[in-house]
Amino acid sequence: MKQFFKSRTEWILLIAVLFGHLVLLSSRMGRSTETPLLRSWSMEVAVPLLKSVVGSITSLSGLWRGYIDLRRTYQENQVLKGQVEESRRTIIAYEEKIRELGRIEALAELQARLALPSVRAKVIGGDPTHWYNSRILDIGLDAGIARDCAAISADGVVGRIVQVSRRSSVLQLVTDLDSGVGVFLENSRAHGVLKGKGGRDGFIEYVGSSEKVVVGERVLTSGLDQIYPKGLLVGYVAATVPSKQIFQKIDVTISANVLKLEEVLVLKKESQS
Amino acid sequence: MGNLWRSTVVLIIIVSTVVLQVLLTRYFPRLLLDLPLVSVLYLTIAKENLLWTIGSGTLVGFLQDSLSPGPLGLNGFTKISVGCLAYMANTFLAIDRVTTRWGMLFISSLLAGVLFPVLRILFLNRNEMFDGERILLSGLINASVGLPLFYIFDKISQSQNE
Repeated sequence: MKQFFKSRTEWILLIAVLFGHLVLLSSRMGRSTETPLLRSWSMEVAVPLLKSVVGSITSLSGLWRGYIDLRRTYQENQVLKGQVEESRRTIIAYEEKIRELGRIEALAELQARLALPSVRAKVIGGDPTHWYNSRILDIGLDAGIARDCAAISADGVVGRIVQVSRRSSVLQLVTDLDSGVGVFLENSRAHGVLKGKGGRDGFIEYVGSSEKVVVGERVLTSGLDQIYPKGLLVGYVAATVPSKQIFQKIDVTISANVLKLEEVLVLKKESQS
Repeated sequence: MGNLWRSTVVLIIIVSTVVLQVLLTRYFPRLLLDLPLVSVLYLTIAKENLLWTIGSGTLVGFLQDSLSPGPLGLNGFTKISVGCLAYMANTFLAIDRVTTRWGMLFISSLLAGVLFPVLRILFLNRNEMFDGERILLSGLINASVGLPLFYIFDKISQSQNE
């Protein structure tokens, strides 16, 4: 058999020419809207390969970031946790401030409504024994208050001043066992004396058994004790204890939350004379 | 000088218990704890000297009465009386074990819970009702809180002596 190709050059030339023809054919076919054949064949071969390589790289990268290289993630997490905690503390502080402002605003409204000389006081301490119901206030003689000044809150009567120094005073709550407030019942207009029972309760004595008392009836100050101005809300009738004696006993729930006092309004003595 | 320093520290601790009591009852009004009584009882058994009982009881009682609506002398009388009984008990029993200390605190607290209303009835003409449950609960709380406080006071005392 005769040798068909005499040298390597001929091989190369043959392949190049054939390839050129194919390119030419492709370019002619590209005049239509379809993808040229060569381009199409190139894509069909290269793209799957490219897809698999890029996909592998993406997976490896995700594995690295998600599981292996978490050093920065941990630090960022700690920083963010700290910021969240600080924000939470700030929010709590602001909420408490808002509540305090609400209470002060309620007292200011009460002060304006009463049109009586008064001064706001903050509760700074409780009773040093557990036998009395009293509170320590942060104002005293310097603020113009004296013994037997009445103290009220936005919800009702709270008590009276029993001890006073220059810059502090002791407030006896109406729920104290030794406390006595001249009161009358709003509907029946029966007069009596409110005594403390401890906690948030009291009871009224010296109301005649014949008086008709309704549960839920408002109990107001009578002003007869010369300490509390007339007409201030003290509480509500919780229950009546039937009795064959001269006087009936009436249980009262004090309207002011004396167990959670923060600020009170102390009425100055000149207003009550 | 050392004695003066120790006495000053004791004085500070006594006043601190009253201040702490005032703060605690401001936030927990129904708390039946009597920290000043615990401090008087500790001084009674630690110093083993009646003068300490009388002095601390007077000071504590005076402070408590000053900051409450009651008359002066009521708390002082109660603390001194209960302290003296604890002093007498200490001479007969060794109140240095957990059980005896707890028992002493409990019984002293019960006695204080009974004596205080009795004094109010006798001297202030009050109609007092003895709330047994309250007195018992107060005894339990004072004994349970007082016991670890005794050990804290012991540590402070030992560090002062060193």
